[in-house]
Amino acid sequence: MTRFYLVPQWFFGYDIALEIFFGMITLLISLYSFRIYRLSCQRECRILGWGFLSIALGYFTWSALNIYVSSQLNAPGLEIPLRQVTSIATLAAWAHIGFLVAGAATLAYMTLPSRSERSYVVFVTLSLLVVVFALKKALAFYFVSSFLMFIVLSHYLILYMRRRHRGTLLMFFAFLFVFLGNVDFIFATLHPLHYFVGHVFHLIGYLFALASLLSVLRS
Amino acid sequence: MTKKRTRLEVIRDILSVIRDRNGKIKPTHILYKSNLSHPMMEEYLGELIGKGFVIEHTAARGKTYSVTPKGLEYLAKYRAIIEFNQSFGLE
Repeated sequence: MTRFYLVPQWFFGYDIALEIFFGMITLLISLYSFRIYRLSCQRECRILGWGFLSIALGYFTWSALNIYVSSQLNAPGLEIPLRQVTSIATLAAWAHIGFLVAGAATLAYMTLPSRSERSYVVFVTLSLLVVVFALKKALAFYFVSSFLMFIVLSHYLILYMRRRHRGTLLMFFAFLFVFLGNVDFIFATLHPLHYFVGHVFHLIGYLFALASLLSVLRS
Repeated sequence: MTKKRTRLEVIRDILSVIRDRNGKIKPTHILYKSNLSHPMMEEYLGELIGKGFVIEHTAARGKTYSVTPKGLEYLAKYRAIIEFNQSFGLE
């Protein structure tokens, strides 16, 4: 199986809690997007909702996988069905990658002027195929998700320059830190510290996204 | 040149016009106040009736329109929609 991260031992457990937290924030944004879609019938709201929902599912799958694997390995007095654990872990890792790449591709598609469903399918499928057929799948996953996040953050930067809206600036910083986190995860296969730093970047990014959502809710 | 109104802004304008007329308004007034072509107004009104934001009343003098509580709720939530669109980078 492909090695995705080198995890610092002292950080194990905290990473699961953080990923559940990221999943909850992205789920909240997704649910609110669908609520706004019900009121406004804007396709963009629906696309945003699906994008964040996919990312939330990616985090929840990964957290569930980590909880499952650690519970199996720590179970006292049980013979570990290693083959079963490995196959479930592989399946969950692919689900995690699939959901995160599809979510990032959906958000990147939202920033494009095209609103054709076929171009959306092509965009998401190509993003996934790059990872599926890459020799170094983990690296391809981080590169593709970083590239997609770069498209999204450029969109928010351009919008902020045009509108000077506080919420847009918050979302720009959110995607900037998520992008930095993704870039840092590229090196997490080499040194465990990057796994921790990547999570810190993501935490800052998702806190910015949460602040943006809260400012909308307060308005 | 004035910027073209978005779909949401047109809906807000139509609902505001009807609300400001104490709830009942003739289609010609909507046409005049909301600054739309007749086919566009028909299309928007059809959609607003379908969504339950507006009710059409038919009388001997012709049709009138009034805003439902759901339509008033939409007007109240309009600000939240705009704020959401701006924050989350939607056009």
